[in-house]
Amino acid sequence: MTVGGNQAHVVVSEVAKEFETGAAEPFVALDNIDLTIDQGEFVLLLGPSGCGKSTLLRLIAGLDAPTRGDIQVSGDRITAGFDRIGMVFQQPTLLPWLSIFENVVYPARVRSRRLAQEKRDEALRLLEMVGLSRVADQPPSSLSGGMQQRAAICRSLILDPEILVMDEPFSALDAMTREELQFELLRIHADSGKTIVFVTHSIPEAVLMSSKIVVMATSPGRIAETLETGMPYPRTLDTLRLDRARQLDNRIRELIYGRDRGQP
Amino acid sequence: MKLRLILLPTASLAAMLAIWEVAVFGFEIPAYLLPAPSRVWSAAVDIAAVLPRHITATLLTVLSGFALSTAISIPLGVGLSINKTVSEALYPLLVFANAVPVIAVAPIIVVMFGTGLESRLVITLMVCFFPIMVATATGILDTPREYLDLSKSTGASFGTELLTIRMPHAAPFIFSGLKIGITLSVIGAVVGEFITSQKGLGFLIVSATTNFDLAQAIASVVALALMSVVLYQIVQQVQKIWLPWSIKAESMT
Repeated sequence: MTVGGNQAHVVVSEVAKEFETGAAEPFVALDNIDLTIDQGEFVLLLGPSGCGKSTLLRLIAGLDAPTRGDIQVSGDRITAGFDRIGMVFQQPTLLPWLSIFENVVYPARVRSRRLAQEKRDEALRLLEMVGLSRVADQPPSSLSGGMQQRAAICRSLILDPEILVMDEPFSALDAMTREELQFELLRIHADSGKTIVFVTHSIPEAVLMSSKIVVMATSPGRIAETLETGMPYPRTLDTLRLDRARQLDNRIRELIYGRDRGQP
Repeated sequence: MKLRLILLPTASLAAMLAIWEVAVFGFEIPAYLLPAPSRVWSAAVDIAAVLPRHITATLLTVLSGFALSTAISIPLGVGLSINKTVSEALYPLLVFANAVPVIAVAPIIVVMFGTGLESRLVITLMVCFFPIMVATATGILDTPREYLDLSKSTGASFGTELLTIRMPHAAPFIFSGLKIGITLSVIGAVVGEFITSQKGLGFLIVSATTNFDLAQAIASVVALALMSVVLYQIVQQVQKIWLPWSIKAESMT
């Protein structure tokens, strides 16, 4: 399958984000960010801690407003609770007083009781897709971290958003669960054609999944380089052994660690 | 393990009572200074016929005072936590109101509200509104940032966020406040009965001590303590039934 219909989906133009720290100068978390994400692209934001990748993601999700600049989705300015965006956090963030099923339906419930009712079948289908139908009525605490994060992904998909925004969603999981979920997400991407914006600090994760990697740098937070992955989907474990994957890996390490590529 | 948890405290209680009993008879302590447990027991048997009437009277004060406090404190706690102006305007006054020793104002309250149930309700309210209010406000302010991000990302309105995220999150905190509140209600009710009432366990204690009938007074105190424990357990059970997830979370940490 081909990725990216060359139709601009998310356009970030000249965005800056500053935080007041009490000092004379505000802390510049992001400076002069320009980024265009095409329809159906799988974009990974990658960089050392403090490069503002999570801050940029929060801006794209509409959770925070940029200090300067503008972010648009299909020509509309982003606002909080934009129903074209589904969000997955680093922690599953399931509400402990709701069952797994009720958690998945929650974004619909927030809008109206009727919408929640209408989305029941969709919720069951999503839970089925990630293998959680049997535990739909159980409380989140009875599930493992990986299962909880699967439920959180279902929740982000319940309103059929155009864009999935994911903030290091697999970083709290053990390595095996993480790999499982990476391929599950790749499958969801292939089936739904949704645009995905995903923050990580794992280079292999970025190379394995993305169609585009945005490598960021610190002080101030900025984009160092944007790399087109240029490898075909579907991806497999062999993807990481391709020459192109090695090239990408090297280039990213160069960008992050400098010429010595991070070798000790 | 479970049996041990019942047997050990029962054994130490029995030992304590035995020492008490032996000491009273051994040192020939007069009953008007310290009655032996056996005498307390027979006093309890003596007043068994009138006890239900007094228990009911106290219980009425406790429960209505507790209900009143809950009805006032929870909305007040919500208001304080979500509105800065409300909090800045009222919180210092509420802290001050809580700092006033209730025993000291009780006579004033009786003059203002008369010797009926109203005075006892006001006294109970003064004793137990604060912990419930603070627990509610604390719970609402404690809502994790991730939950608020979630509600923001789903586009929840302020009211929806309050009802579907902040209040449920605060519920276990509120129950902690209610558990403190219910026992304080018993104290408030007894203080009220000391001053105004013609019935109730507080009245029974006062009238027994004026007759130097310590055995009856102690029997009444034990009844009062038992009532307090039972009420606490009821609140605990309600929490277990309504918010099973919160009990699990508590026992895990």
